[in-house]
Amino acid sequence: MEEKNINEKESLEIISRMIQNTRKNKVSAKPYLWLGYTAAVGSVIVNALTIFVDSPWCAIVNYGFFTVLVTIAFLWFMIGIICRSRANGIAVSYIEKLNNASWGFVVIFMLLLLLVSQRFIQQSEDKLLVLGIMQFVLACILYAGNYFSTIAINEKYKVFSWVNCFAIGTLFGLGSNIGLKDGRTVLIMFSIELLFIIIVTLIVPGHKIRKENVK
Amino acid sequence: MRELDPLLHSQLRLAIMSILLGVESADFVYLRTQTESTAGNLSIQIEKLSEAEYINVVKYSDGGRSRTICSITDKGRDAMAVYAETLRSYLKGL
Repeated sequence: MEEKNINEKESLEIISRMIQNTRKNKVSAKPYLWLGYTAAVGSVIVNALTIFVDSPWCAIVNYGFFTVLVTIAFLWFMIGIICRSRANGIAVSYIEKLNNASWGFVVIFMLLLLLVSQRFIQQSEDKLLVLGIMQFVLACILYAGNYFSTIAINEKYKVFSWVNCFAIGTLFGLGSNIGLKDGRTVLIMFSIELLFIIIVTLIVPGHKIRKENVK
Repeated sequence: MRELDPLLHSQLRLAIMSILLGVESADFVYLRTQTESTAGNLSIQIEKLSEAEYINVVKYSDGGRSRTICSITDKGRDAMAVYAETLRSYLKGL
């Protein structure tokens, strides 16, 4: 492209072509997908271990898993910012900025949750109950991050967030209505819920975004 | 009929402004790739747009490498809106 005068039709063509090219600079689905896979596989293994193996060590492993999960979320967030391909230059879109801000918010909240919950776990007699509640709060934070991202990426993905919101409300209400008080049952309930939330908020939208990026 | 802004009515400057309209900021390499222009020519056009306060240019060193980040200003956004409106009235008259 050179510095030359153009006619009206050419002007219009340049404007539309450049705007179209900029739109191709979409948000990467990789953090969604990998955080989703890690959380899903890890949750199944760790929660099964906690529920079926009667050892106090399992609660520690469970807590450790969430620490790892939060660390992975943090690393993915940082890697996404630092290791961007610079070969073709960098353009920060408004969508990307909003997406990064929402995930930054999620990661910071998760780290704070871990710090606060550590104190509660140490003091509580029913450690499994605290872990169950912690899982629920973690799921809510993931949901919040996903909700902001879906607004940023595409309006239509909001439906996943609403389904998720409904699932959280139903399962939580169900748990309190039945009157499940012991830690193990609460943990089972929240484990199922957490798994569902991970699939709905991370894996499914991640695949959708990847498909759109391929297009 | 209103005259088209001569500063914007140029292939490369219009392309730069159109790109910056859709993003919060873009670096020099990105602009060069998208516009398929030479570094020297792009620098001159960026300088002209910056002098007119249509874009903000921030230069800094990143690990020994010099980086130039451009973003559109409110004045630039308004100028593009007026340019698009004038263009529309021209095309209506065809």
